[in-house]
Amino acid sequence: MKVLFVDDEADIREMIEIALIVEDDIIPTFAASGAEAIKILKTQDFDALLLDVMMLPPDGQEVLRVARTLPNHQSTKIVMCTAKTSQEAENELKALGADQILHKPFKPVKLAGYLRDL
Amino acid sequence: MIHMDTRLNANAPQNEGRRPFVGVILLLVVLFIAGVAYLVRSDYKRSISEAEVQLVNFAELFEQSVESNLAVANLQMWNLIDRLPSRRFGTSADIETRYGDMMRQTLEQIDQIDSLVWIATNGNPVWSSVEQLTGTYLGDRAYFQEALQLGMNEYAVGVPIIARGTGRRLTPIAWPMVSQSNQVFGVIVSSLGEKYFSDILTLSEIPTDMHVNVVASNGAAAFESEDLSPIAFERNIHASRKIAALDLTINVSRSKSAVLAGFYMRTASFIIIASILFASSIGMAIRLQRKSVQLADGLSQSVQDNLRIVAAQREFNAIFENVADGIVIFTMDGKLKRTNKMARKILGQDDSDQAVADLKRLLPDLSILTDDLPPQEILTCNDQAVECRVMKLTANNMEIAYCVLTDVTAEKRLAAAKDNFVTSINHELRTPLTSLSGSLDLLQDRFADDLAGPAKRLVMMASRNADRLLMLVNDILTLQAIDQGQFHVRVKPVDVSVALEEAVAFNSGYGMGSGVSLLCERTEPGMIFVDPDRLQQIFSNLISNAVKYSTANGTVKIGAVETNGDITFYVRDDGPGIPKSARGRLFDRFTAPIHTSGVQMNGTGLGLAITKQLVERQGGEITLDSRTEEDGAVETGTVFFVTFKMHTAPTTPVEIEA
Repeated sequence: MKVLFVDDEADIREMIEIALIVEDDIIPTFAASGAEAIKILKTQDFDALLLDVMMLPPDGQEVLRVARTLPNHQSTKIVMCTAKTSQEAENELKALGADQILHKPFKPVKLAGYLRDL
Repeated sequence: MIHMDTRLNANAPQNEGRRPFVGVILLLVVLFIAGVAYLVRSDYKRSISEAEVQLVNFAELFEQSVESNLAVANLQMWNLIDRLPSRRFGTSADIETRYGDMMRQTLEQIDQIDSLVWIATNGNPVWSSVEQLTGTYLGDRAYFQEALQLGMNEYAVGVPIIARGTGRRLTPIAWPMVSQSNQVFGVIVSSLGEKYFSDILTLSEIPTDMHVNVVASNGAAAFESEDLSPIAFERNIHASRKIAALDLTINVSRSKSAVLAGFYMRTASFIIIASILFASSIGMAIRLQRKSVQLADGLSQSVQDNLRIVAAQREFNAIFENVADGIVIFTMDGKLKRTNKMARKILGQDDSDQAVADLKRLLPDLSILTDDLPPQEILTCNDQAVECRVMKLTANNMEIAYCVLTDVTAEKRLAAAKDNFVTSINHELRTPLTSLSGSLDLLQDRFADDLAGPAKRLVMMASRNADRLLMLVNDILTLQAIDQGQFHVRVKPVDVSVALEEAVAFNSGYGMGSGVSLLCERTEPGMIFVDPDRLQQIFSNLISNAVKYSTANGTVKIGAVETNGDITFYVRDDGPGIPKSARGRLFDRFTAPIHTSGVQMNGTGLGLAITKQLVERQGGEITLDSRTEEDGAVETGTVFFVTFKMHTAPTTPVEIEA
């Protein structure tokens, strides 16, 4: 499956890349900012998106909004990755079209299984 | 103490004022008694002297009556003697025939005398109005002898005698029968009887108690009034008068007690009336004095009260003016407008009127408000955040708005900063923690075989501490959510047995490292009405704690007990127990280490604080029971009890904003 990981933390991106090396069925693409992610989304199709919420604008929420306006990402599974625990914030994200909320910190070892279960 | 002192001072002058008053009253009483005594004494003297004057007057009157009577009698007697023959007057029978009627007539005419005897110079009576005297010899009588020596117009008075015949008291009077040649040819003897004197007595109105006697110079009584029993001479008052014509003395006397009978009555009634008047006026004076003392006390009390009120007012004003909160008081009709220093500072006005007007502009219309206005934030011209609480009070029949202004700018800034800080910490800690903990996981999972023994241990240590740090961040966030009211409880009916099964399933992993096992001892049928996720969080916290403090290879026992419609879950360990001194602060945040260093386990210090919040936000209660060696227990350990009300399941899940 094709998955786009968007996170402004290089370490997180690298950790995910290492975790997924052994997972042959998952083809990761990485974006280091919201702007880069939107650019990629406009041209490529993905099975799933994993968006970090807290980024410099355009943040994860903005990327989510844009993604859902793109015809090729209407049914793409979108997972929002956040450290926030506020229920209101999560509800807002879900209202914008997020399928799942993944709370930081997540276990990279379990990430592949999580993505397959989407 | 101050109050006590003023009390004492107030009492002192009161007593001082009362003392001279008592003196005045005593003086008045003494004067009254002296005055009464003086009046009584002079009345007594007057009564006595009045009686004495009366007696003297009476004696005089008596004497005068006797003398005038005697003068009349004398004239008549001399007239009779003139008409009697001085020679050859014959026998008694001849005298009777010729002069008997004339003499009897004269006897009748003269009231003063009651008998008449003609005695010849030889001492034999020649005629007598009293039969008994006929034939007796009277020549030896003193009055006869004396009369023989007398001349014209003279008479002799004899010593009063008791009449032989009648037994009556008589005072004889003898007139010499003198012829024209101055020859005494006989003596006419008569007598003054008691009746004569008593007749005189009846003529004048005299007191019935008066004692009268008439005595001759030798002490023989010519007359004695009958009534009185003998009375000691000293206890009488008396007067005497000599009746010169008869050589008799009249003694008049009255007993003092009789004279003073009127005096006693008068004095008694006078004393009674005077005493009543005096006592009532004294009583009135005392009452008046008491009243005036009370009045004075009341006055000084009220003066002191006034001073106290003024002092209290001043104190209140100082506090009111300088209190740290702004206070604005006004009445709806604008009669009262008052502000304190802080209120004026907050509202940026120097003047109470302007400040009140400003505040009114910022508040809703209070006149339509029926109840207190809950705290609300108002923005003043200085762009401060001010919280204003309005209380409607009624004082002196006026509706008063009492507004408390609190400058919350700093508080709000601080709260915002705190929120911001926590949110930032959350993100800023979690992001590196994700990398750290994720990397270590991957290292252990994928590359453990490539690591040497000590390196593996170091990686494990790093992993464990990363997890612990993460737990701390989670706990802080949970508590922050609870504090900010962002904590959600989704309440559902939960089966007690299912909850316990899940607790065992989810938490069995905790004890694996130390060989501690987890066992569900007992359960109860029934449902409780809680958030199942939060319930598991509670179990997780309590079980992980219990496992931490259990002995190696021990057992943590959990279960549920139903009592009176309550379900109580328990989590029991066989650890060392919690020292008594620490039990009170067990649920506080970041509690200081409870156990000695050997026993104390690493933790965030927030687990039980969160658990307590989780339990209480769902309407439950958490308690504990712990036994330590210090308590003398053989089997040490701690049990935590979490009690929820057993509920009849509602049809739809309810969300509680906690």
